[in-house]
Amino acid sequence: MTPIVEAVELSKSYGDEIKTWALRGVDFRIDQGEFIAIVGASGSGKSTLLNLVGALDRPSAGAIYIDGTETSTLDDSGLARLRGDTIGFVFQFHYLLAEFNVLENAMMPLWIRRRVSKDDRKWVKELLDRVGLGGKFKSKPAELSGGQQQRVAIVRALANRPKLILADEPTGNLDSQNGALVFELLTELNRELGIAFMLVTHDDRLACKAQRIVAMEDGNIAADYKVDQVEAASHSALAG
Amino acid sequence: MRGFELKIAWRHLIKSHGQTELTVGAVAVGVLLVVFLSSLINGLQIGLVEDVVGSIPHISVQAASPNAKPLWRITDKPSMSTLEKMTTRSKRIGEWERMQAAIAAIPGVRVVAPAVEGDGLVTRGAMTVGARVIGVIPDEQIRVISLKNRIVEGDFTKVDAQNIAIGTKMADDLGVKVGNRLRVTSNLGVTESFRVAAIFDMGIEQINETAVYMGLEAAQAMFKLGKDVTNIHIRSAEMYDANAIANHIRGITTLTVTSWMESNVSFLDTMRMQNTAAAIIQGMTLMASAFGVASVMIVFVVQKSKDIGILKSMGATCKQIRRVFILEGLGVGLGGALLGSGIGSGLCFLVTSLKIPGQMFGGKQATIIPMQFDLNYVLLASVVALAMGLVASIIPAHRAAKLDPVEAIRQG
Ligand SMILES: Nc1ncnc2c1ncn2[C@@H]1O[C@H](COP(=O)(O)OP(=O)(O)O)[C@@H](O)[C@H]1O
Ligand SMILES: [Mg+2]
Repeated sequence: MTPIVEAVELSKSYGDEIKTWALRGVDFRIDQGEFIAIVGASGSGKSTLLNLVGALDRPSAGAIYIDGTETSTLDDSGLARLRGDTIGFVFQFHYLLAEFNVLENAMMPLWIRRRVSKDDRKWVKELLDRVGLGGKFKSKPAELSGGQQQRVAIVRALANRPKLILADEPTGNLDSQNGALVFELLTELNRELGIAFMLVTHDDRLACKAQRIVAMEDGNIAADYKVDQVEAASHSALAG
Repeated sequence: MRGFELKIAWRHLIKSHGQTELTVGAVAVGVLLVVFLSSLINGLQIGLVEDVVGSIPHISVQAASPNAKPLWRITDKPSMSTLEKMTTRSKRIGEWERMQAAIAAIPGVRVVAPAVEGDGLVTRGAMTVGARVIGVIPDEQIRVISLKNRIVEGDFTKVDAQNIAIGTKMADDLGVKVGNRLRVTSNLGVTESFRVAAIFDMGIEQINETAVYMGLEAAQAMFKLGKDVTNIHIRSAEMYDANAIANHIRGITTLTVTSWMESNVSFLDTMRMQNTAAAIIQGMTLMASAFGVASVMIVFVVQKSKDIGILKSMGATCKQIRRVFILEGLGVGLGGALLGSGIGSGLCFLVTSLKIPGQMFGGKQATIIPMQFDLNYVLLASVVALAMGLVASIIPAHRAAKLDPVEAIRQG
């Protein structure tokens, strides 16, 4: 089975004169349907990795293959199309467009990429129902709670039926209870839809619920391991 | 375009918290000024041109001697001796019907009419004034110069061998009314008695003071011309074609041909300068509006950078983002064009409807400011407004398109 993402010696530096290496030659792959948690201290390169994996940015060195395509072979429009077709993003803040209602926000990736079919509309509405926003299609983002806004952002990321969802601290702006609920929702969607998820979190208890944990340290991958669900359960029991 | 760009642009425009109103207003002011100023200048110039050209033929073919001056350039009071000098050298146009037919065949010529011009005196009782006698076929003369709104009293078409038309000034000077009799003496010493059939106001003092219109045959007799005439008067369909037609006529005759444009060079230059000045003012206003729109739009792009970043993360290409903001510029241009030309046209009609109570001009009630509204100004201003919106949005759209999504989102 071809991986959705494969990174080879992936490096990223910022600055021209004084270079900060945010990623220092990372080898990494994501398989279909995986649920990966990225953990690590602030500044360890988690967001940088996510942006490169999502073709939102270009590596300084090394190569990255997204859905079989090496990103350096694509121009900016090509990258944009690749994002639109295969990737969905969720960020710490919901970034919903204030001028559009919930349904319109969730449909946005479809509007960008193609003519919206009846099927597409149905799919987005079902997703909104699924995340508990069935009655809020016409609401404006500002009328929703933080948790609800983040759910709309999640549905929006799923609208184009991507192969991979990248979430950079999606619960970072929510209280722990709402954060746990959103995290729970993501794991459920991963199981139901078979879409791969890769998310950054600071919360170890949440991270333990992932199938795989990647720990970043100083621009390197310090650890990358599959979580034994039984062990995870005991972990969270101990922690709880 | 899949409608995505249009959706975003439209929502941005209708939910912009005042920016749209501001930018549309800026464009509207520019458009309004173009429409209003153009109508104003056009109106003023139509009045001026009407004054200058309305009472003289567009083109005149004359057999007069080189030092014979046109009527409106005579400044000193004419005396019999100078008048004699001027006309004794004058030649005549024989077989003028053939010339008339040849000129009438030139494209763009509307009316060709023969005339006899000469100098003389008008006497009433003990009073005598100098006169420029013009013998015409009244029905044709009416079509050569616009007399319709210039007859103050009487009927110009009655002008013939017994009836004459004189100007308001001469009528005042001599204290005559329609129906009174006058004696006209040509500089060849022929005297005839006439009845005043009409009094005109050509808008030019000199003409009102000295011009005397009589029937062609009467003038031919007074100047002993037999069947000959001294002038052929021409009206062109387009008055600004006068020079071209004059040149055409010069190709078929050795007589002196003068177009109104040649005898009013400085007037035309003044008009041209007015137009240039107006164009500069309009251009600068439009530029100021465009800069205003551009700067508001740049601020708008900065405000919307997060939205732009997130749209890019969802797959929006640079081109799509650029199109969003270009469309917004065009939308602002269109809105400004509609608003500006609406208000501008309204203002034109309002100003035009302001009449000076009681005062008449050219048979109509005089307006305080003569405005000439033209739909073409609205079309022009609207095209310019759209172009302005487009130009003003280029830099903001480019900035939006080049925005780095990682940066935009990182600065959350
Ligand atoms: N645009 C940028 N310009 C300069 N340095 C950056 C930029 N983005 C990230 N960095 C640096 O790269 C390193 C990794 O950042 P990041 O990937 O955001 O870490 P994390 O998400 O793990 O907190 C940090 O040292 C950060 O300061
Ligand atoms: Mg980060």
